[in-house]
Amino acid sequence: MSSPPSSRLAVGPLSVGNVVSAALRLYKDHFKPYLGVAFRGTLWSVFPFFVSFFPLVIWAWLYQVNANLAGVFGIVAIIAWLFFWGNCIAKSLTHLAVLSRLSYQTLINQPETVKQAHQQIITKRWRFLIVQILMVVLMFAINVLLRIFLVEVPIRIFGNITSNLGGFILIGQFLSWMLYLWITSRFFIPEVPLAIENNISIINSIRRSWDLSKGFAWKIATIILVANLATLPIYILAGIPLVIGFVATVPLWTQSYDLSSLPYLGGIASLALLAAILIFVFLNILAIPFWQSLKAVIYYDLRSRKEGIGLELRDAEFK
Amino acid sequence: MGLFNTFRFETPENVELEFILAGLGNRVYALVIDYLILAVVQIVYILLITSFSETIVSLFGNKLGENVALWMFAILTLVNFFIYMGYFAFFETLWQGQTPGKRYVKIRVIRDDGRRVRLPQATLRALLRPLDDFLGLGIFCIFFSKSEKRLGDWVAGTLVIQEDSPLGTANFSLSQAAEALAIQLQSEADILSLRAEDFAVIRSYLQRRAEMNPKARIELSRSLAHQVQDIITWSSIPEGVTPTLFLEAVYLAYQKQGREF
Repeated sequence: MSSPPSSRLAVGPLSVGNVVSAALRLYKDHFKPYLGVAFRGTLWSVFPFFVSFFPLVIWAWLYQVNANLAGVFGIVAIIAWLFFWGNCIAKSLTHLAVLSRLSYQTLINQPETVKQAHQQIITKRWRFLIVQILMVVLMFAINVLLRIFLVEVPIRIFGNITSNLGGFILIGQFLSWMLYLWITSRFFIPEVPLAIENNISIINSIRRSWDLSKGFAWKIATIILVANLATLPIYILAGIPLVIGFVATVPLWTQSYDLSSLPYLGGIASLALLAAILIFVFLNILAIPFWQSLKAVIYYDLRSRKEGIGLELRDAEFK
Repeated sequence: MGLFNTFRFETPENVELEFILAGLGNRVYALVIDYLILAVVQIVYILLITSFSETIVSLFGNKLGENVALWMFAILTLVNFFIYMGYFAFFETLWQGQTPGKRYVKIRVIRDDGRRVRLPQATLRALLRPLDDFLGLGIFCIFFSKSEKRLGDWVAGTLVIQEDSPLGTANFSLSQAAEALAIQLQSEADILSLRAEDFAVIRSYLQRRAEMNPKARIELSRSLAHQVQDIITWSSIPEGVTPTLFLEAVYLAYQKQGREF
């Protein structure tokens, strides 16, 4: 017979598999609220693109009346839209951070409601945006540097010595991937400290991710691998319409079709593609809470190892 | 809220046993390791067969005629299938429900009644594995069922559990000075007012301190030492005794006291 979930809370360091299981468990136990937050977060990220339709219409109308005025309006509208877009992305990122905060608070036995968590961190929304921008720039720069120093420079150096460069390129590429994976693991949770800790600056939040993960980069990389594999089946589902669409187009490129079936086959392929995109977006929303919970569990695990959180003696009675 | 599902059952002697189920993360992790090992084994096998293919063709070519390549392919596929099935069935039977992947991840297959898994159960699980792997069906089954069973587990009547207790084994060293202080504590302090869960926290701290960052370790040891001091009503920590040394002594004293009672 199976029992209800144990009342014991797992404290202390968790193994790779248990980190993934814990994140799945947190999500499963709070499925509806977490999914709601992920849905709203996704809506915020696509909202500016729907809104951009209106200034475009106004600009087109103005252009016919007065081209100069349309030019001025265009510049003002672009600046206003960029600001609006930034605000919406900041809100979207705040929703993702809410998910991590909710999971972490549950882990430390101080659960919060979605509203409470949101209230706690909504004022930090611009900081979440800046963290995200800094991370994108940083990771891009690291990628370029790795490419230059591990692939391009060795090609130039060894290119003068030997014409058989295949091996060097392969080793350089492999090393750059490994290093990139290692660095990604060190910078995997930059927004989580910002979502949970009080009075923390943007740079300190990113630094916390780096410091806490010291010595645990490969563990985090393994967690990311296992988490990807555990969620792979739901992405396979998104691939099914794509396979159908692909099969529908087979007669087209084998040239064994008659022209009358062309619209029909094209219709199936387009529908399949549309279905795949919609399913993919839906599945992505479904996966967001898991990844955010995973980040929270990793943060909890690292703090538990490095700072001993959870090691308290009947605290309630002492305070 | 517990993070992991548990499974309870009663033995014929009316003893209730509780196991922590393996969880999807551990099972996927173990499978990744097992599949990596299997991939290496199968690649070696295919390389061996292809390097000996000329010898095999010259030996059997006369008897089988044109079909020799087809026969070789059929045999290769069949043996590969047996390697795949045999790997899981062999190890789970021989290693009491563990494959190399499961052993590394510290999970184990047992029967629904808690007994060790035998060849019939291990074989059934292995036979249904391809079905569970198809489109990740097994992952969905494990995620949605309370007892975390994939199709192979339902048919074979098995469960996958975690092997270790969360505490693990005590593998830390204590200083010599702690021994002397422990003797003093035994006679002067009320060590027995510590509860088992307090002791577990102290033990956990001593076990995990090496991994902690120095600043956090100092703060935590100080806070724990103050709390323990209050519990065991021992007012003065002698000069030169660090909070960690004090906690080591409390750990030893509690252990000794426990043995005496």
